[in-house]
Amino acid sequence: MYRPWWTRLNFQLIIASLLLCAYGLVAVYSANFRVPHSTEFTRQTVFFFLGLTMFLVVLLMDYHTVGRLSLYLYGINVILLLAVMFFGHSALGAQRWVSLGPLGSFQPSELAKLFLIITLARQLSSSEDPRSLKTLGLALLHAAPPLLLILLQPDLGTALVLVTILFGLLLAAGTSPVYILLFVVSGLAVAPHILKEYQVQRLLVFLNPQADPQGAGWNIIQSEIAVGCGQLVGKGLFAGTQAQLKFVPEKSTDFIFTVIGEELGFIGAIALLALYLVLLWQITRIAMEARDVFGRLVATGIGVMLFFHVLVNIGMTIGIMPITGIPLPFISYGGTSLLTNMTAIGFLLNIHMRKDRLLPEE
Amino acid sequence: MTEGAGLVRTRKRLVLIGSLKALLLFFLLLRLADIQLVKGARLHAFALKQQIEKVVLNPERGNIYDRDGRALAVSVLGSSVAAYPRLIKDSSSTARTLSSILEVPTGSILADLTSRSDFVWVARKIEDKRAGKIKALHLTGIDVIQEPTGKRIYPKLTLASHVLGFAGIDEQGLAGIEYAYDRTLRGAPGYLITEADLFGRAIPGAKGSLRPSKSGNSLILTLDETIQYVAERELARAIRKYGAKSGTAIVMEPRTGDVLAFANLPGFDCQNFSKSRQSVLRNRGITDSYEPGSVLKAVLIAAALDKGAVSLHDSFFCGSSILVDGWRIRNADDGLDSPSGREDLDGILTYSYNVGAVGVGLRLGSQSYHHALTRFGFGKTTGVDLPGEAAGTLPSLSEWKLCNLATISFGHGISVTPIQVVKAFGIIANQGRTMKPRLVRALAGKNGEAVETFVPSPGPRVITEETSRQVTRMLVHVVEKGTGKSARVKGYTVAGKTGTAQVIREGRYVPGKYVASFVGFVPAEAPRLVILVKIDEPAGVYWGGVVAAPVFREIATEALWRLGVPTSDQL
Repeated sequence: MYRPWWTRLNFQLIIASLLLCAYGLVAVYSANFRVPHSTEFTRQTVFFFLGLTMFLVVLLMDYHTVGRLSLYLYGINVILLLAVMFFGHSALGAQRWVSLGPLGSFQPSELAKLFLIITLARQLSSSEDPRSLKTLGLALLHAAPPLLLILLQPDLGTALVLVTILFGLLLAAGTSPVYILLFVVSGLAVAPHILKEYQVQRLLVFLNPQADPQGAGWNIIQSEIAVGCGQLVGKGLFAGTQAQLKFVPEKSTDFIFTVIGEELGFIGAIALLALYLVLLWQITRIAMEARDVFGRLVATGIGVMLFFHVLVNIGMTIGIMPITGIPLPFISYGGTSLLTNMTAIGFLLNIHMRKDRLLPEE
Repeated sequence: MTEGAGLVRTRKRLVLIGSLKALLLFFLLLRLADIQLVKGARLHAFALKQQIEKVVLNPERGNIYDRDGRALAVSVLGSSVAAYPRLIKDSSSTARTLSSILEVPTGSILADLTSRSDFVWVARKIEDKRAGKIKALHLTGIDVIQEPTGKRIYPKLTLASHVLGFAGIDEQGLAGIEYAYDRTLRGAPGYLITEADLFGRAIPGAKGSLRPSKSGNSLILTLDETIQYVAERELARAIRKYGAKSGTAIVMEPRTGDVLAFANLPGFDCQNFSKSRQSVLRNRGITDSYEPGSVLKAVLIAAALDKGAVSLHDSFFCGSSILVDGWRIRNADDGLDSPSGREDLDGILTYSYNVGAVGVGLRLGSQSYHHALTRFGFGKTTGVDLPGEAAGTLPSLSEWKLCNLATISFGHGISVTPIQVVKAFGIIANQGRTMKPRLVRALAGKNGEAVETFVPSPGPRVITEETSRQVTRMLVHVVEKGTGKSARVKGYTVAGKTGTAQVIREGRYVPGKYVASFVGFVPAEAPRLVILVKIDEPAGVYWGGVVAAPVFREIATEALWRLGVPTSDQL
C-alpha cells in the first residue's frame, strides 16, 4: 500500500506549531506596541519564513541521512560554539551571538540544542547496551564539550537545557534511573562551586523575591503583578500596561509570557498551554510510533527540550522557576530560536512520515 | 540487541517522561490560576497604584503691585533637586558632593538618596547659582527640576510686610493679601492624568487627560510704594526717638477708601517670615484694639451736633473734675486748664477737656451716642480686605451705665482698632459719608492687561455735610492752637485730634504704659488724606500731640507732595 507522502504528515503537529508561531508574532507585535521604531516584529516575520524553508528542507531529507552525518554535525556544533568565543560579540554581559551582517545576529547555542539531540540520539541508539555504565560515560563525554563551551559564554539557561536533554535522552534510552539520580545529586553539589555568585543568587531569588524587591527580586515581582493583572480575560491585546510601561524588562524575549498573561488573561494563557499540550502530545505519539530507536530518541529529545523551555520560561514569569533567560518556544522574539524550533518540527514530521517503512529508503 | 527489543524497552520510559511532563504542566496551570484568578484583583489594584500618576500642573501665581504698578511680590521659577534613589550608584559620594553645594549636612542628604522610594526631593527651590552647579555635574540619578510653582520674591524686602503677608514653599498664601486673595493670585491648577513608567515619567503617547492650568491674576494694590516707604521711615524714627515698643501708621484717601500706606513696626522679611516671632507677623493695625482716648471726642461732638443735642454756642462745665455716678473724672494732666471753667464745643475739642466731653455725652445720652458709635463703625470690622480683622469692643447698650457713657465720651471704656479710627475720621473728612477702606483697586492678567477694576462704592451717610464742616473746623483749631500743633504742615490746613490712653493688658490698665496717637486729615478744605499715627508704649513723654503728631506732619508733607496736592492758599 503506497500513500503519497503528504497524506502522512501529522497535521495536528503542523497546525499546532503554526498557531504557536502566529501567537508568537502577535505577542512580539504587542510587546513592541509602545516601542518607537522597533523592527522586532519585521525581523521575527522574516525568520518565520526562513524557518518555514528550513522546515521543508528537513522534511524532504530522510532523517537517517542526517543521523549518518552525526559526526560532521557534532564537529560543526563545536566549531560554531568556538566561533562565538573568538568572533562573537557580547550583549547583556554574555558572548552568545555571531554577527550575520544584515540578517542580524545568530546564536549558535540555540542550534547546539538540536545538534546535541541528533548526535547523542545517534550515539545512544547505536550503543550495544544502553544500560551500561560505559554508555553513560560515553554520553557524558559526548555532551561535555558543547556544554562547557556554552557555560563559558556564559549562558547558564542553555547549559541547563543541554543537561536536561542529556538526562532526557539517557532516561529514554534506558539508563538506570539510579545513575541519573546520582549524577543529578553530584551536579547539584558541584554547581555552587562552578557558578558565579550572581548566578546562584539569580537562580535562588525566586524562592523569596521579597528579600530583594528592588534588585534581583524586582523582575519576578513585577512580572507576577502583570500576569495577575490579566485575571480571567486580560486587559485586551496591546492594552497591557505593566509590561508596556517598562515595569517588566525583556518583555519581547524572556518575559513575553508576561505580556500574554496580562493582555489575554487566564484564557489566553490556557489557550497557549493547550497548543503546547497538543504539540507535546503529538511529539510523544511520534516517539511512540517511531520505526527505530534513533527516531524515537530524536523525537523524545525534541519533546524534552520544548517542554523544558515552556516549563522554565512560564514558571519564571509566574515566580515558580528561577530566572534563567531561556526563551518561550515559537513565542519569544529571537530568530535562531524560532529557526531551531521549526527545524525540529520538520524533523518530527520526517520521523512520523517514515514510521511505517513504506517510503523507499535511500 | 535488536532494534525491536530496544523499541519495546524504551516505550515504558516514554510513558514515564510523558507523565512527568503532564504533572509539571499541571503545576504550572495551578500557579497561573492562583495568581490570575485568586490573587488577580489584588495584584491589579497594586499595579494601578504604582503606574497611575496624577501630575498637578500648578498655575503661575499672580504678582502684587502698588497702585502705580511697582512690584511688591513676584514669583520666579524655582529649581529643585530631585533624586531617583534606584538609579544612584555611589550614594555616599553623591551625598558629599550635594552637601558641599547645598550647604546641608551630608547625613540628611544620604538619608534621602538611600530611601526606598523611587523619587525624593533633596532640596526645594534653591538659588539659581547652586542649581546651575549641580546641573553641570550631571550626577547619575540626580535631577535638577524647574518646578511648576515658583518661588515667591518680595523685592522690597520688609516694605508693607504686614499688608503683603507671605506665602509658603508651594506658594500658598499664608497671611495678609497673599492669604486674602490667595484664590485670585493662585489661579486654577490643571491636571495631567497619565500612565507613568517605572521612574514616574509620563509615557509619550500614553492615554492621558489634560486640563491646562490657568495663571493667577495679579493684584494692583491701593498702596503707594513711596508713601508706604515714608510712613515706615517716619514711624521708625519716632519709635527710635521715644523708645517706643511698636507703632502703626495708616494713610487713606477719604474719597475712595484707598489705603495708600499701612505701616506696622517692627516689620518682618516676607521671604523669611519663619525667622520672625509670631507676634511680629500680626498686622496690629487691624488685629490689636486699644482705647482711643481723646480722639473719640471728635466722634462724640459730631454725633451730638448731628443729632441736634447741642449747638455750637452751648457751653459746658470744664472744671478740673466732675463726679458721675460716684466716679470722679478729671481732665488730663497736661497743663492746659480752662481759664473760665466753661467751654464751648470748639474749646472742648481744641484743648481736649475730658470734663467738658462728659457734659456733651450726658447731653447726648447713651442711646444716641451708642447708635452714633455704631454708625461710625465701632464694634464691628471695617471689612478691609485683610484677614484676621478684629472688631474691637463696644459695650452693648444694655450694659451702659452712666459712668460708661461718661468715660466713652472721652474715649475710655471702649476699644477700637487703628483701621476703625481711620474709617471713622474718613467719614468726617468725606462730608459725612462712609467709605470702606480697601487695599486692592484692580486685577490684572499675566501680561499686565486689566482684568477688573474695582470702583469704590460709597457707604451710607452717617452725619450731614454741615456737621462734617463744623467738626472739621474745630479739628483745624486743634492743630492751629490746641493739642495738635506739631501736626501742622506748611502750606496746608490740617484737621486732626490727639489721643492718649493707658495700655490695657488682660483687662487692666498697665501703669506707666501709654498709647499716643494722632489722627487727622489734610487739606481740611478738600481732604485728600486721612492719616493715623499710633505709637505704643513710648518711654518718657507719651502725649499724642508730642509723640504722634510730628509723625503725621512728616508723612503728610511728603505724601501731599507726592500726590501733587495744591496747597491750601492755592484753593
